Amino acid sequence: MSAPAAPGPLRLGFRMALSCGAVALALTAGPALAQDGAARHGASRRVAFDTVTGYQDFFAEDAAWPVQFIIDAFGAIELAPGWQVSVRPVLWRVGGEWESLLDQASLRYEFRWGAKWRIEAGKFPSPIGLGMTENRANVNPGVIWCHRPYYMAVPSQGSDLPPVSLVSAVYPWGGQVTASGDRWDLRAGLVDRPPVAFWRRAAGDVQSANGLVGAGVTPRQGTRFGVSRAWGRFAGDSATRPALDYDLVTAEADVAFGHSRVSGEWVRSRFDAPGGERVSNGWTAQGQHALTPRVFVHSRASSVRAPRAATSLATIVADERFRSIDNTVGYLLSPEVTVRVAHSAIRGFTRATVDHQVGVSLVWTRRWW
Amino acid sequence: MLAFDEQPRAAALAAGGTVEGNVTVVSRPSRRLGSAGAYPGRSVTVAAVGSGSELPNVVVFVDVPTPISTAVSTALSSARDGATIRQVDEVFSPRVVAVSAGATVEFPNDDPIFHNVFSLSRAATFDLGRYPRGQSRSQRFERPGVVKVFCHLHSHMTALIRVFDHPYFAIPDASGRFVIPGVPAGSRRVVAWHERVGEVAHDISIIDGATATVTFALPLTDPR
Repeated sequence: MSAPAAPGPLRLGFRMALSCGAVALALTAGPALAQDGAARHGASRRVAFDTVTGYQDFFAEDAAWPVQFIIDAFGAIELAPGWQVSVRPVLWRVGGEWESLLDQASLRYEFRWGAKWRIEAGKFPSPIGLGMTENRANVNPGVIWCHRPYYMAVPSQGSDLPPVSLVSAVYPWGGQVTASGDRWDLRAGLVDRPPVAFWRRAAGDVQSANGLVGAGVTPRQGTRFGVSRAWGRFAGDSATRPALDYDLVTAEADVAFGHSRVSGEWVRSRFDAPGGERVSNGWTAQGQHALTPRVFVHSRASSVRAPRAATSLATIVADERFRSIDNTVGYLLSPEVTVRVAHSAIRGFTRATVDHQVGVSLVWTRRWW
Repeated sequence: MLAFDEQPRAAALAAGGTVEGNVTVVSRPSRRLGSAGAYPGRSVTVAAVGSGSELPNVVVFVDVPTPISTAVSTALSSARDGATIRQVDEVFSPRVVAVSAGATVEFPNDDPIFHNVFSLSRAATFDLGRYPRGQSRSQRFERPGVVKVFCHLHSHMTALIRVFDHPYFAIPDASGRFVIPGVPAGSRRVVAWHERVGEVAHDISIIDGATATVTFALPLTDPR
């Protein structure tokens, strides 16, 4: 996870502390149980632990993405065949302050029953949106460690409403079921945060049941087309208005061949509003190509259109647009270390001019276990 | 690669002496989870786990000094058989192979997903690109050394290729036994290598037409 963030103190929430404690207990439980050699060797216990450490900086007068340093750790332990507990704490430094989040803490069960199945419960990445499959510094080919629209609120829908995004990088609590074959995949879930909620919790956030469904087809290896939908409540009721619902649909495509990959998505989010519904939509298209074993290039274009409401909320006063293009050159110093340099052209909501930035990043990925 | 039962290769290396022996790995079973899966993906991949035995990941070789002799060079030219590393259930199999310089290694994809085999090692830098199930790519290895192989799409996949400038090497069979025929006579150092143990060596004397026996016990422990 990476994101622009307001400075704030290091916070270790109760859930994070509880989850880290549970995993630490699980990791150390083997020797405590071991009374003989076989148990001490823990034949059925398998562990994975990796870290992604990154540094990035942008050179511009108005650098809007000031995340500078991030440590993104992921640990998993297989309790029994198919059963896996995973946890992912993320620590980052921005503006001279450290912050932390627990992005994942879940129990996962994978098995074959005709198709291949995965059942997951706990805190996990929102399964809505192509960007959520790349939201880690080592996976995302761009110098920006995330898809920009996922960390950006659309223009205000009203002063007493929580900020929302077209589609956002949230890590909700809940459960989901995924099934797949060689040519298809299906998923359904129920989570406590809308995949349109601003990534950082804000005043007015509502915790509600949100439904998620998705499906995809793979006509040939390397090519996938998918759709997804999410619906639920993004704002609770107040003295002046009822509770408000949203509905989000996405379509995504991914085509890979040889040393290249092209992918994209289209998103439409409909929000209830006191003066009627507000509809935002947007798209992202990107391509990546490996020039040599060490050098790759990547380009990503994103566009979001969202209405901005008047203070009275009854009328739309403007149809605002956000656009960005990022062009990146990456160099693999080693299989673990990648350097990226990028140029970004960004025209923000309500901005009349295009901001140009040059960014650099250094990412070190290490599988420790 | 000279495995225990590779008689044709042994026939080509009839001259010299034979080194045979046994490798024991003093180890706990591998407990590393195949796929960590911070983002498990749209499709479900049932996580693969390593097999318990580390014997297939051991390479035993005779440390032949360079420049190589004419006899070694002749044996090498007749022993450039390649190897195959398959991609099965998001695992390279076998994980360790040994070849002579000039040999070609095939990388067939048996998975219903793309793989992208690559290496940035000094001994060989290559990127085979993405390719689907049923297809294979190959790479010729010219320089001796250790080649670490990865998949761009699945970071948990790794393999190791040891490239030698001579043909005197073997990978133990399931019982740990190995045979290296045709070793030039003289005082030789026989080495057993595992990526986490490093090299364990024994000095032996090779006599033409005779068999020398050597036993290795590799003190392998799980990574910490």
